[in-house]
Amino acid sequence: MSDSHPCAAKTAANGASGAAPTAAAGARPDAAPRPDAAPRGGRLLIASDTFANVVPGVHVLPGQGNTIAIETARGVVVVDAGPGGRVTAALIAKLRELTDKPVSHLVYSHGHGGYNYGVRDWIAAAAARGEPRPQVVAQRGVRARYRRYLETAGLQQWLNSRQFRGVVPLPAAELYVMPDLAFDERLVIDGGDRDVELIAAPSETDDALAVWLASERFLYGGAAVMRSIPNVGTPLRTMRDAVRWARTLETLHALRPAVIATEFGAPITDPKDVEDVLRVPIAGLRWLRDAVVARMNAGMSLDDIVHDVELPDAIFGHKFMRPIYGAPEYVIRDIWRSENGWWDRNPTTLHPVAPALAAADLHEAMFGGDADAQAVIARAKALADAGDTQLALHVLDLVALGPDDGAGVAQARALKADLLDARAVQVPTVVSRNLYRSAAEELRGQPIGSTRAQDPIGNFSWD
Amino acid sequence: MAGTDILMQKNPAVQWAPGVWTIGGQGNSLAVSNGDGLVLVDAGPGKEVTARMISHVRAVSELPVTHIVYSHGHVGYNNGAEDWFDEARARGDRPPCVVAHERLPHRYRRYRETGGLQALTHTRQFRSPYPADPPARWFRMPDVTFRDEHVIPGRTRDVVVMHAPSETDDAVAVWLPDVKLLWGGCAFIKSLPNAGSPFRTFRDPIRWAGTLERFLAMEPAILVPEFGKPLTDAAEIREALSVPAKALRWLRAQVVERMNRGMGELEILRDVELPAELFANRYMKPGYGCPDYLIREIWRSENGWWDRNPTSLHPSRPQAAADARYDALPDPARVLAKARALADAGEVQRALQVVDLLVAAAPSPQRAQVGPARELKAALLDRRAAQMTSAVSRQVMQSDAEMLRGQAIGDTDRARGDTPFEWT
Repeated sequence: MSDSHPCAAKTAANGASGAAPTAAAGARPDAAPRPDAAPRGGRLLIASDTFANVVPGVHVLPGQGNTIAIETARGVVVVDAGPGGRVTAALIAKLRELTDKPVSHLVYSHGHGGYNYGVRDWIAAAAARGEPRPQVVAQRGVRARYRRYLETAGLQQWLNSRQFRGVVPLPAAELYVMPDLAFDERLVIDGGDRDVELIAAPSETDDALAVWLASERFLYGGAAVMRSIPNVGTPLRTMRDAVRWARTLETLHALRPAVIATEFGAPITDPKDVEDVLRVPIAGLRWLRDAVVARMNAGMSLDDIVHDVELPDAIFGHKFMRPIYGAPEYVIRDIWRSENGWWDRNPTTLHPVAPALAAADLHEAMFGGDADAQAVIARAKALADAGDTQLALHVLDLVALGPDDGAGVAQARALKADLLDARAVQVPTVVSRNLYRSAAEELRGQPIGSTRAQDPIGNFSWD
Repeated sequence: MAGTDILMQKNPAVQWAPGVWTIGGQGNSLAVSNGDGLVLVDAGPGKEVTARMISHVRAVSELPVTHIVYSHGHVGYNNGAEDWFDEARARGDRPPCVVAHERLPHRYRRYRETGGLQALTHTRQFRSPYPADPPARWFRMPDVTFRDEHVIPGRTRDVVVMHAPSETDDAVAVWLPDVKLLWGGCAFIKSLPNAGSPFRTFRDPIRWAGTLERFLAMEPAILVPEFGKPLTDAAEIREALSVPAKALRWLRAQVVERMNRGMGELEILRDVELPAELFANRYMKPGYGCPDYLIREIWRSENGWWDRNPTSLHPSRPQAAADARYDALPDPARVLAKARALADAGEVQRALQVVDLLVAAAPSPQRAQVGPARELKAALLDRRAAQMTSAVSRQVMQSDAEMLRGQAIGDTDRARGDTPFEWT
């Protein structure tokens, strides 16, 4: 799941009470913990529970999301090394409580940063035990993604600081360990006593994989299988094709698994849940695709479609479709993107002038003086007081997007920050909530994440 | 030039190597003899254009058409495939085998599924009617698909069909090793690569650059573009392949460097200065694609749909937002006056951005400026269209001006006596 960085994110995480729980592991798993970076919250993406012998010799361990350890006669296949630092050290120690076998393979569930920043720690641990270097295995797309992350490191930092709310260091190049062995569609690791089958499972990323043990009908779905709505269309990320994700879930469903480990949360063994955790998201994604395509074909615009689609509760009210991270609106936007260009269909936006010039023009066109700007701010405030925070934001932007020294602009931005705080508690997804809060801080001239102590505490659990 | 006429090539068969002819069509369709039969690359859009292609071929060869290769999955290039099957039947030949990249069937299914959307975008972009329910004869599925390379062997030569992802993910090139002739398909258009087209899904500029670099490494002696005259001069071929590839990589580096500094999409759009040695090159003419589109596409290759304004994360209904904004304006007449003043000063784009404060609101007696604002916007779009180098930008602006005036798309061309191209 998450898109790249495990940076500290404030929520009541993983069943903790909302007090100051998992900060124990530090704010940044890939670096020395900094006490100032995570004043109270836990970390959204860091798991905390161990499930030993989910099926014989297969353990679910707490990493960035779940780490899977599969014992074979030839060693342990570890899926996801964790984010490094204390989390990966704890992972290694936990594995050693369960088995003394050497680690033969380190497998990347997908190429998002953080899930495998800890690879070097595992390699060092093997060397310290006098064992051969584990082989690093991934779907082929990981290499291109890692190169992109290094090329766009500044952008990733910009995005992740806002999405995960905190100071994000520029990731060091050595954290991106390229796989030794890459495959396109399917790779079988012959463990001697059991085959560990890796299956390309394009979903949240194009380089995601699933792990299948036919002997035990055990499936680890990786980034493809979550206990909440598939994270398609998240605002800051490149396209995640909804139909491709549905097709992957259909492929996994056809395996008829008996036990499923998910990227986050506890493994699933109840037969109905095993069925639902695959079938319900498939139904949801395909239903949304049809709903959006019908409306696109009728000529509707994207924002109209977002408001027009009514979600059937039988699918979207299901416990495995909670919009805690992804959201139906996000999915609709990515389905639109899968069939449309960047253009919003207004010819004015095809070849715009520089944003600052336009902002100055608009401000001058609208306002003859400060009183005019104050009138607009008052109108926005009235809309907000009447309960329509979002409509108030649309009106307020007439002033707030103006030039820094424009009449009323500073005041409008201050009000906008307050409205964004209000908006943050109106949305179910933690991604939108974090983006609102980060934007509010920016409007107030505060460093991103500096007021995390005041972030609303969502009722968040991956289960 | 109106409609899709810009895509149609009308010249007769021209031989570029023994048994290799360009035959017109939608772009440069190709007929290649391999001694046993003819390999046809792109069947044309059907009807009179394809009929003309067939007569061009029959003027130079009596061999049966054994294969039809689809250059890529865009509408029109192979709508006429069935016409070639009809021709084979009439001649008593075996039906041709249709070869395409493995991604093409997925695209064809999408085009049927999204017929209404395709009609909307094609009508605006090409300014001619397009059927929301495409005829059954369109989108004939391939008999053979491949991923990287497919060789059609013959008595006199191999015809190598290779994946050449560029404008589409299902694009192919055709390579004739014996005469070192490369038919570049939509990857090679002798003008600025058409990535980032406003209505179209993602076309990765770097993937496109990689395809051009592979072409370059093949050192073709004859290079046939999708449109226009083939190149035979070695230096010209190198220039035509290397300059667009370099330009795409240069632009990527520029955009990434600015993204890494935290700049926004529109700031980058107006901040990048294009070096003439790349972007004024004769093989980089912005007649269809343009640099603005490329920058948008590079941005899109690394970013999400969000414009980074939190107001637009979960917006109100567009009409409600537009009405609320209008109703909050202290003096809409002032806005219209400012837009007019900018227009009079020749600042057409700035005037458009100002007048947009008014045009989206629902007209009513209380919103007296909406009507005049829409008239002004239509007039501004006519002027803006005339400033465009890209035919795509020009045509969608003209289409929108007509819609704002309550006209049908293409009315202006018809009033001038132009006949729109008919897709069917």
